[in-house]
Amino acid sequence: MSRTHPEQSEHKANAAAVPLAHVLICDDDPELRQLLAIFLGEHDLEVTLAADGRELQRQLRANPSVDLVILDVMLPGTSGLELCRELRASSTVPIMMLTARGDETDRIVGLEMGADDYMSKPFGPNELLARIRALLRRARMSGAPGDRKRSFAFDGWRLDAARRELRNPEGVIIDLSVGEYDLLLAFLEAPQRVLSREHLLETARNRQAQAFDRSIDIQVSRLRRKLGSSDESDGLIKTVRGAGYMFVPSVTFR
Amino acid sequence: MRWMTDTIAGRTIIVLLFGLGTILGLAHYLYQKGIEREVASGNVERLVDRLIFLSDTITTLEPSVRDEAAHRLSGGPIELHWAREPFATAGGLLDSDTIALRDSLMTRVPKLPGGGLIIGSTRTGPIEHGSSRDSSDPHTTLLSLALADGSWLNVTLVKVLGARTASPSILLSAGLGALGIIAISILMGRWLTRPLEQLAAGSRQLFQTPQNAQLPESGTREVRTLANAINELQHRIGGLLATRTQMLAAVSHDLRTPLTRLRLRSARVQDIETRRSIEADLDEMEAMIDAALEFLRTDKDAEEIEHVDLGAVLQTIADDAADAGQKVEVRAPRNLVIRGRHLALKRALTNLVQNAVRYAGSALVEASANGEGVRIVIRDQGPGISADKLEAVFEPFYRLEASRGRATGGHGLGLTVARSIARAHGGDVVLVNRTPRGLDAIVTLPATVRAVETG
Repeated sequence: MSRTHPEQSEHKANAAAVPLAHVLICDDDPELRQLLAIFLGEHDLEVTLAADGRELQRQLRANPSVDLVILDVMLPGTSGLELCRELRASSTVPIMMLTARGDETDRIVGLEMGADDYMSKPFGPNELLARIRALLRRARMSGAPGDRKRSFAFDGWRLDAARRELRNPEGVIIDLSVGEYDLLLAFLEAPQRVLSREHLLETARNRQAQAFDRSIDIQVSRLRRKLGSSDESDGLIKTVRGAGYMFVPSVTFR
Repeated sequence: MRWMTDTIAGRTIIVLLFGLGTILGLAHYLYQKGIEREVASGNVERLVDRLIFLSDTITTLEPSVRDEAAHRLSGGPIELHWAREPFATAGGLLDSDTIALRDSLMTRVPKLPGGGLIIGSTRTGPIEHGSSRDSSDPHTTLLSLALADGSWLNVTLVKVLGARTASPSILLSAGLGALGIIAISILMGRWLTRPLEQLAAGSRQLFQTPQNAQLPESGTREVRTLANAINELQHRIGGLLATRTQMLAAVSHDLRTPLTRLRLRSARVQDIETRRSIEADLDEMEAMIDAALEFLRTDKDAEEIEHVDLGAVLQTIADDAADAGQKVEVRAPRNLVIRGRHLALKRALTNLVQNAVRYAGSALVEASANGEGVRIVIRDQGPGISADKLEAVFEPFYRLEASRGRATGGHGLGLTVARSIARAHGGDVVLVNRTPRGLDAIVTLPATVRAVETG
């Protein structure tokens, strides 16, 4: 069931940023499994497949080195939510749930069961890849899932990474676009450090192809406006001439 | 007067008036008859008493003064004469009163039957019972009573006409009675029909309240039966709707996996032009499924209500549109905070903005808050919608003429969903044509707005 695709693809240039990782995918749709395996394999990820909970357990025992589990919520037999709970009780591996779009309940229950992130079906392949990379990067940075950053607080603001929800000091939800969210997350993971435009572009890429081309400066200015400041020098995000940007306030994790 | 036959209360009045009027009339007639009979028989008895008393009195007097005494004792309908001979001769037709008088006299004075009583009448015509002539024809009856010593007391009786008993007071009391009946029946009509009106009001509410609401089965038996029937109907309709909703939701839901597969497959298409087209098709299908699922969404999987900054939401919509090469301008105050469901509101506003972009190429969004709530106007410079279609376009899957339809990518649920979300927040969405050109989609969301200083 395990497939790897050592052949180099056009995305080779990006591969350096994401070292090879082992992803275990559990979904009951055989074609979707195969397509995911091919796509992720082309992007230098080692992929193992499982059709249901029993196979998932077997594959995990056979491959203790799995870096990430992608788990469909709707599985025959034991549900994905239940598997997520069992898995979290015995393992620290990052878990991404595949939920149905618009199904708020599944998403929230999944996160409460210990999932680290979620994707809503139907999703685009680029978005999936970006999420996988972000999840792997965060897992490497913080180690055990107990330390994994689920919620950030800065200057009275809060970002719930699980729900992708930003709240201002009054508790009001401030809507963010996908690009703004990814950018903010990149800042929050490295506060009070100068981040280059290239680094931000790499970490803040999202599924929209055109957003790749968007200047990072435009994204930053949009994010500044959402954070209630358009002042380049005095705001939360400071422009460092010739170097990039720096997130000024101190950030606490939870 | 139409009210009388059109409402149960009116009909109650008619029935009560008719029934009670009939009963009243009949009772009055019978009462009148009874009184007349009573009076008549009473009169005969009193007359007999008087005649006996008079004859006894005359008998005790000396014969020389008897005739004069008799004259003095005359009065009213009775005229008395004393004589050695009877004046009366038997004959003429006797009416019922006279016959009763004769019979009574014969019974009370034992010596009279043996030829001591002679009765004659001036009446000659036949007696017609019940005819008005009977009472309006004055006539004289002559009686000759034999006294103990063989002389006679001659009595002339003038029939006194009994006054007809019909009087204005009877009409007055009947009229008052009728008014009373009307007043009572209006009250009773209300009492009778109130359960029905409550039932009607309840039925109307039934489909606005969450599913499986039931009418209270109270009131009269008929109303209870009706309420029960309506409840059964509601239950069955609810069941049918639930089945259809589940089916549609399941179909939309199950399309997600094949759509995801298609997205993965399209990434492998080498020809960029083809891949773009496939991805555009997929975007459209996803939008349709999302709209269908949003439309079918039930209360139980709604988001939580939180404080949401609509200014930020509109900004995101405008930025995303700009990234997609569309022209959307937003003029909103810094803090446009309401209590609501974040993603639902974003969906509603996105639908309206996308609608404007689709039909007019660009959109201008103006948002403002006042004490009553938030008002967001999405303006476009498009051709607008003919006035008679401004409401119809909110119906699910409604399509305008082909030029505004499929070719431009509408799926017929955007406005429906937007309005249902706004209404779930206690607000609304309306469309208004502008002169000379353009369409305004006006979103109103009610108060619980508060100005919050961010950052």
